[in-house]
Amino acid sequence: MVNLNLLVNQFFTENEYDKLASKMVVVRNDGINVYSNIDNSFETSSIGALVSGVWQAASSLSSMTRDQAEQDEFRLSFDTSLNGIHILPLRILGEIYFICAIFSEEENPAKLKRYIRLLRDNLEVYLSELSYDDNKNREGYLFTNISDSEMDNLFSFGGV
Amino acid sequence: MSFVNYHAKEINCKIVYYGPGLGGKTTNIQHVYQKTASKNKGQMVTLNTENERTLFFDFLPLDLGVIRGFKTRFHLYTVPGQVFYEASRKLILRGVDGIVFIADSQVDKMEANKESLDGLKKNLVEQGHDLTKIPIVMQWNKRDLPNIIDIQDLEREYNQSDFPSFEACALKGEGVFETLKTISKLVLLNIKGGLDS
Repeated sequence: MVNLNLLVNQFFTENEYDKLASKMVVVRNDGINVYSNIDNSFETSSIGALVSGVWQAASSLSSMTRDQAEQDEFRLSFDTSLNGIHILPLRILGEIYFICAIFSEEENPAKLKRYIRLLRDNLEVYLSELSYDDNKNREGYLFTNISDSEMDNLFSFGGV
Repeated sequence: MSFVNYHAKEINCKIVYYGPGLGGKTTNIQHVYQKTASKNKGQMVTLNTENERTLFFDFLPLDLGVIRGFKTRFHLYTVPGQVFYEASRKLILRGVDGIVFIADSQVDKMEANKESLDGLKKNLVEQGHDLTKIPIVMQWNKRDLPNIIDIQDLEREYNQSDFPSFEACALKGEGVFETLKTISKLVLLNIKGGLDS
């Protein structure tokens, strides 16, 4: 069975969606990264945490006034006519993920946002037609024991 | 919820530092940041008020290395400790894999510790966590200050579940990595999903 991260990566690269904006990420609702076109994985992690945080904060704020049924229709932008971010929710196997595009010197941000909306719709369809390993069928624990020396090795970079 | 990428052989886990305001949550993460080699860490993200109190969260991505072929990345978060940021704390706890509770050892912080710990338990239960199953480590911070509570009293008051606990002076770095190492091990041992699907 195919890995979800791998499928999403293929979807972006084969369709050249990775070139739509200078920085594109797909993250789970807890901020864990699923796809990124950014070389620096630490930067990707930070973007994931911030995307998740800003969306959850905005969602909580808007829930004070809106109908919960509208949740899938919301999008989040913080931009000028040239630069900014655009975040859309994405539903995969009933779970919420987010697509975030960070753009700069963009001549037509409205057009870019429309493309990202289409990308989101296409990705949802693409994933709904495939079966992949979402880890939910795996049983037991990944590690049944971890020795002290293995932990010492993990923390050998400093501190302990 | 931890995420294991079996294809890339990567483990991602979320650890949240929780506790009363000015207890030393951010100081813990800052020490980890300062003592970690550049190749093992990302930039520390801080969302602060003007007077450097945590407004939403601090975030530090940390690569601990490889265990049995899996690369491990820990996402360290702090919550804002001030009482009126309860909504933010609930958001940050979503998807948490392990908690470090930073208690302030000073006598006059007993009530704040209790209020924060009660809030943590309530928020975890609200989010569907079983308090007997989620990894939690207690840290008794500020042990270098003069007006502090005995360890036995802290254990009796706040640690009836007998979670692993450590004395610390986060400003000097004492106890910081011991705490992180223990919660990391507990979180790794708690990751669901065997190698076969």
